[in-house]
Amino acid sequence: MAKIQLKNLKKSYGAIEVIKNINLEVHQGEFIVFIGPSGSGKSTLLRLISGLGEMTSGELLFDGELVNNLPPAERGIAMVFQSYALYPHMNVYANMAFGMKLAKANKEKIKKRVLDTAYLLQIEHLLDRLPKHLSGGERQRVAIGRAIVRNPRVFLFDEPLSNLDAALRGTMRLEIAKLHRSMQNVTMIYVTHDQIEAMTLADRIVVLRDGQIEQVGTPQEIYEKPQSQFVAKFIGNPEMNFLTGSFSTHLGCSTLGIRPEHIDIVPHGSGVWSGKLVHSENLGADTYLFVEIGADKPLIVRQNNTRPIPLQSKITLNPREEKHLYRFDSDGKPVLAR
Amino acid sequence: MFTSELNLQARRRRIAFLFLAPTLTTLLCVTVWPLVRTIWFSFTDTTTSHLYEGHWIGFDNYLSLRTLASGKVVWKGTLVDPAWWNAVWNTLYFTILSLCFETTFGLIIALTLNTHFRGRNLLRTAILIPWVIPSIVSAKMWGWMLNDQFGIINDFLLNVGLIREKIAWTANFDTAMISVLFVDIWKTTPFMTLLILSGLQMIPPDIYEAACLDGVHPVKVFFHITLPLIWPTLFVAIIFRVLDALRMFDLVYILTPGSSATKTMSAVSRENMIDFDQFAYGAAQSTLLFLFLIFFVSIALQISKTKLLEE
Repeated sequence: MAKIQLKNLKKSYGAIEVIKNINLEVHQGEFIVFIGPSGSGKSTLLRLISGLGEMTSGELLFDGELVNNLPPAERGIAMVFQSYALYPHMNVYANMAFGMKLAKANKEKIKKRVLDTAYLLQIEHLLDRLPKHLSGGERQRVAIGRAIVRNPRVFLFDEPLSNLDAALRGTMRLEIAKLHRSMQNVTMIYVTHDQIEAMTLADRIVVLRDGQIEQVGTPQEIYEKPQSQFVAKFIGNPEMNFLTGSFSTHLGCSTLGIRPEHIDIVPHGSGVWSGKLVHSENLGADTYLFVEIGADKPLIVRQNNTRPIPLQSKITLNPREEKHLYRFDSDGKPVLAR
Repeated sequence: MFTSELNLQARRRRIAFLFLAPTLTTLLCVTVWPLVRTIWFSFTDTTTSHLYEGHWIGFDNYLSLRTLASGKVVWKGTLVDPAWWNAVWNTLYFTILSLCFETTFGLIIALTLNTHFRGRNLLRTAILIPWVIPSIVSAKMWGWMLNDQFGIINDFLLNVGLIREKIAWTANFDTAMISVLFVDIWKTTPFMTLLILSGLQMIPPDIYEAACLDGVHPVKVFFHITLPLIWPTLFVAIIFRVLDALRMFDLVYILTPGSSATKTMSAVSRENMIDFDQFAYGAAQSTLLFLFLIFFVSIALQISKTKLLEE
């Protein structure tokens, strides 16, 4: 239930500045994802918001109220940790009730809240088990349950699915999306390095790089209108192709980017690039073709037809549409359309 | 094919036995044999001056009953010996008090060392020094420091004005036990600290962060999170310490020789065996001490087993 404002936020450890002047406004009920490579400061930024870490300078406001000096427990936040951070010696019920119990809440009220949450997350059958007798997915559910019981105005997730296997990660992703829909007033901030989680969960994505915000936008905007070569490369799987030298200069840019899914195979003589197929990866629904066109690296082309193309055959390629060409200058900034 | 596999297994067993043999032999020589021998001696009338001339006398060293000509019934043996029961009381008193202080101090120091501050590593090493010094050396050292004539402690207390005249700390009946306890606590607290610290370092730090978000008061965090989580380590440390304290001998023997205020079970047993020429009688007391330890260990094992079953 909170609007969060970050104003000129900075954090340094000694001489090393890990968060460099971050300005961001998170709307009430919004699902924001911080994404970036390791060392980009995304977890540090989350810890600053939670109050577990102290900022060096800047202002943090919840609903317009300065919370810089408010201890974590009084900020109305709940956090789900990557390692779950469940109390190992308490059963699931005690884990979820712990905060309320020590806050001397009414026993009946605690019970009702815990049971309601357990019902919501379908963990009622686990209530009297110890964390060590739970699977990874169950533990993460309990950790989320413990956070819900706190009835927070801001929900923080620190890479919550990183310790789960791929299949479970998919299931839990859905659960978190569902949770967000059922708690529409609660602002959620989610840290991940997984672009699928970012793209599927976020209302808006914040791409971080070296302690700075590289771009803020909806998943669609980030994917379609990357504001830098870094963002263009970071979001999208397989990665965007980047062409330099003679491939880009005649288009008035230093680097030309095009996503593998935006390249078509065309009849000989009609395309702009041609080359030899040197490798292909068949993923079932899609095939990634690696085409040697004389650039630094083979061009990756994503095809969703399953008609096999023999290796070493000559292929001609063409970008699907003009708008799919991304042009960047030597600083990695986009070159505006002529 | 089948036979060669069998051979392989037999060979493995033989090699395993070969590797175990030195340890088993050593244990047999230095532990099992002396133990069996001591128990056997306790049922004889062996004296220190005539070690090989003892005769079987059954339980007389433990407890025997004689009816005198006058018709008076007389009980004899260790179990009715006031000196023995004094030693039992001294040992228990020493064990309980030293354990309480060492655990409390160890816990406080370990909690301090578990936080981040400059020079922590240096302090961690430095704190072990009292434990590393051999008992005899530290007992002699403290013996001099506590000396009534030349001791630095009397000198200090006099100068500060806490005492009016010099006190013979180790010789005085009322202060002898305090002296022994003091030196033992000084010496053994580092051991407790080290064990507890290892337990503390196994607690994942994010649990404390979760508690911080839950708004749990630090004191409650200690009692509800830290203490339950280091309890298994603490339990092992306490057992080690109790077993050690129940066998206490060196400090008592060197610091307060012959004082009935501090004489422990081990000390009394040695006194009978060596000083009083009552080898078998001392052996009986050693055997009783052994039973005492066995009893304690089995209780401890029972507790840890039920604890394990609960989980």
